[in-house]
Amino acid sequence: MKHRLAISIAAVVAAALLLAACAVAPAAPTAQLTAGRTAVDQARMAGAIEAAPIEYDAARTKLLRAEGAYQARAYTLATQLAREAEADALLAQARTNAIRSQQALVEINADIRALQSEIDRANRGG
Amino acid sequence: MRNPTWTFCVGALLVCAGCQTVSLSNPALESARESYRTAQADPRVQRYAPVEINRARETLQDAETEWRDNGNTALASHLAYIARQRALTATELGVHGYAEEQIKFASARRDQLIAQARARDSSVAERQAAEAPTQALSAAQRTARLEAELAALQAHNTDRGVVVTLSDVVFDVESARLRPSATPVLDRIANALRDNPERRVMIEGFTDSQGLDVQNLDLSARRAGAVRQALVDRGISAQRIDAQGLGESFPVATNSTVAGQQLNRRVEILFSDAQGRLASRPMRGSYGSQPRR
Repeated sequence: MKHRLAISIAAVVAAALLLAACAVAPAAPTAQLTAGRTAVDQARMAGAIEAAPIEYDAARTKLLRAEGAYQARAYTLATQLAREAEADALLAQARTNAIRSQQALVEINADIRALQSEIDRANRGG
Repeated sequence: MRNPTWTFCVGALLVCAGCQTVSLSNPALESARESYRTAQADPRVQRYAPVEINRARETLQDAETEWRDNGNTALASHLAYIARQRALTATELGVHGYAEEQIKFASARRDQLIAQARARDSSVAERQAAEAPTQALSAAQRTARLEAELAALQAHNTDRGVVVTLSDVVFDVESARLRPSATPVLDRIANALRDNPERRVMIEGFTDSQGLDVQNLDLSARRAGAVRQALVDRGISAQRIDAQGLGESFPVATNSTVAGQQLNRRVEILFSDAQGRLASRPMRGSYGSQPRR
């Protein structure tokens, strides 16, 4: 009887250790939340609301959920959501800048074409 | 009596085995690998986003490890998502960097063409001036001649009057020193002022939004002052010239692109009307409130 009891206790302890290893109490992810917030703010200031609305909305939604999880002390979830929000926001910002610079390039090339045809016309006309 | 213990142990083993088993596919990981492959194959990414593509690779490797070795599906999916966004970000940074480089070349080409068009216009204006009779010109004729001169300077009419814009390229970089390329334009402005002694000018310097406000105000004021001095050197009375630096205020283009910033770095020369009156400046820049040139 004692022997079997010992095995049972050992098994329970082992199982408990296994669970504990899986769920190491995570630290409060204040740094990740700050990084997420900063990235979302920067994306907004870059104009991502218009240029990359899908990525920007994803970032904002995840940041709000991260803040909710943080309030609820679900730190693992909060960390992951904050990190994803940051990645989404950085993508939104990069996409915005890429779109803007491509538009600027199109405008300059249009200027060049207009100037070139003006000069060609003037040369033909004498 | 033995059974419950054995059942527990076998059950625990099965749970562990379940953790270790690698399922056939993880959509998040597949998507991340795909985005990474695309970004990695893009030469623009290699050139303009080496740091970001490295971060994407490292995160993807972490995701693969969690998936294959640790069997942590949730964490693997999370890391895969981050890796995918980083790979997509690298792709966008590559597009951006490449476009900005193209803009640099295209701007130079555009400036070249503007100079070309300007040179042609001024030769037309000179021919017209030579053909004009030599007798004293009436006020109306002088105004017409001023208009022709200003047209040769690519002046444009604004709400405040006629404005000639000196682009950033006539100054040394981050400096108020005028380059030789400014000489023909300044000669023309001085001639126009000499022919029209009742006109005055207001010279206003501007910068883009990069850097500190105080430095921008200082540089814009020094540039405006340099243009004023250049006109005084050409025999125009300093009494007829006002100059001020307005820094990064009143942008004419977006400050979020290199091309827009270049348009904002400028010196504007505003001509008064025939009575010597200068219109005051509206409260904000034309960018956003008027179509861009």
